[in-house]
Amino acid sequence: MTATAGYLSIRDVNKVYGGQHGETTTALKSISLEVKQGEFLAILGPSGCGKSTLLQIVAGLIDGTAGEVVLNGRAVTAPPPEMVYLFQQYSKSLLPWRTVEQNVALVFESKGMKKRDIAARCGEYLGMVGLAAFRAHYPWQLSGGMQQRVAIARALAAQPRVLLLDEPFSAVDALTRIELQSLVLDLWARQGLTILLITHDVDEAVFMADRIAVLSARPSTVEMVVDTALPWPRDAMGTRELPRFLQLRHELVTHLLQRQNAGHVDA
Amino acid sequence: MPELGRKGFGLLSILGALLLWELICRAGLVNLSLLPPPSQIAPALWKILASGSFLAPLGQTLGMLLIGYTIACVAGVALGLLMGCSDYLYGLLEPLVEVIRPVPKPALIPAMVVFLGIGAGMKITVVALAALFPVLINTLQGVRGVDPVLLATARTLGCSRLATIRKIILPASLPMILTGMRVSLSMGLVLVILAEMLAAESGIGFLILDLQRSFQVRPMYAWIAILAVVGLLLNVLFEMVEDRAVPWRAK
Repeated sequence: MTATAGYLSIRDVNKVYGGQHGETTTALKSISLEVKQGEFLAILGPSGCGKSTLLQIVAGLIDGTAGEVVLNGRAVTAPPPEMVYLFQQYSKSLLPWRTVEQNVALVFESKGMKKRDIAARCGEYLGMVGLAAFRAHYPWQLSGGMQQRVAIARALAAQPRVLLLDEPFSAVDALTRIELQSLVLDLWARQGLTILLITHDVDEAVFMADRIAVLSARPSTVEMVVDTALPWPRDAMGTRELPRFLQLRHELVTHLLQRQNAGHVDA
Repeated sequence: MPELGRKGFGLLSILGALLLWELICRAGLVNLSLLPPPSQIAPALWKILASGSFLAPLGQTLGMLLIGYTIACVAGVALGLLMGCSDYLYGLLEPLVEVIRPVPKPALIPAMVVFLGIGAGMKITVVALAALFPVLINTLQGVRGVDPVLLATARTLGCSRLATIRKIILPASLPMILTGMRVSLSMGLVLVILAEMLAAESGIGFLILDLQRSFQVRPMYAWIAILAVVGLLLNVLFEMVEDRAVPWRAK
């Protein structure tokens, strides 16, 4: 991967929620991260630490209270066309009244393409995720893993430069998760994407990412950023058996467990 | 076959009720000139059906219902969408809706007669007013209930506001819209019959009241039976449309 510095910058992002009685909750506190072009960055943190909030601010879907997100030199104030957000809840992000192909077609319709061209492009992207044979099915006729594949195909069809993944594999079974992880890594390498992945799964973060940013519990700060320094291409079995993988996973799990126990004592 | 069997079983209760009615009449427990038995109403019903004399009043009533109902559906969906998508319009119109909605619509019939007379215009207006609110309220709830994930997905995929309304919000609200339309249809039927009874010179409602006043009890009951079947058929028809329009709802 050729990586360029300063491609996507998250600068001092804060998010404070106001309650009904004047009290405030700080979800994110001075989060700063630099993401290089073509990089795969995992953001790892405990449940409820505001990871999704951070990613939605990066996507321009919600506003931060302070700080800014800069993509390729431009401040993000609305969802930029070169960035696509993939939700965990595939069953809610797909349109149940549209077939698999029509779901992907949604992306092309807004670009004023001809019907025949749209069908061809949809077939191309569905092929990438191995669902070419299911184009006429409805989402609710497919398994969870297949539905998430449709969502991935649709996200890719929007031809993003940056893909934001919000725990995309946490709602599927363990084997499907391994398959989807490899699929996304493969697409990432082939399409030259920059990926930000939110996850609470240490194994997933270590297996997939170039670097891992570890977030603390609320109010979330970046506790550390580690280089996975694992060889490419990653292999679903082989990579997970490397000493470096095991060591890194051990360190991260130990760190998160310590944090969690400390949190319990505080509370 | 079990589905058919269950429906067939349910028919027993209807047959039982008719039988009980017949027995009560034959036992001399009621005045037969006020409540004739089904066996005496059936010939009257047959006469109306065989002569084809049911067509004109039925067409008249259903015509008024359909026109008023269509207006209500179009206006209800449009207003519901506008109010659901714009906080500004919601803030402006919601109080008005909440003031008019609780008024029992039959109470408006005398007022409508005052300035619309007793013709088609009055009946259509009354039906439309009664049928408007269930569609409007359900559309509004449907629009406001669209999953935020779906809306955020539309934004991240670069759908324009208009495309989002047309391709995401409208179909996502369709199950709720149809629920409103179903309620509206039965309300519309009630109101068209009532309007015909209170102020009209044609239609089934007028006919039933006219038969009662001229003491033609058997045809009066026959027309009530026809109305029951009309209501039932409208509902069945609606269910068929609903199943086709939102096949994903069962899931």
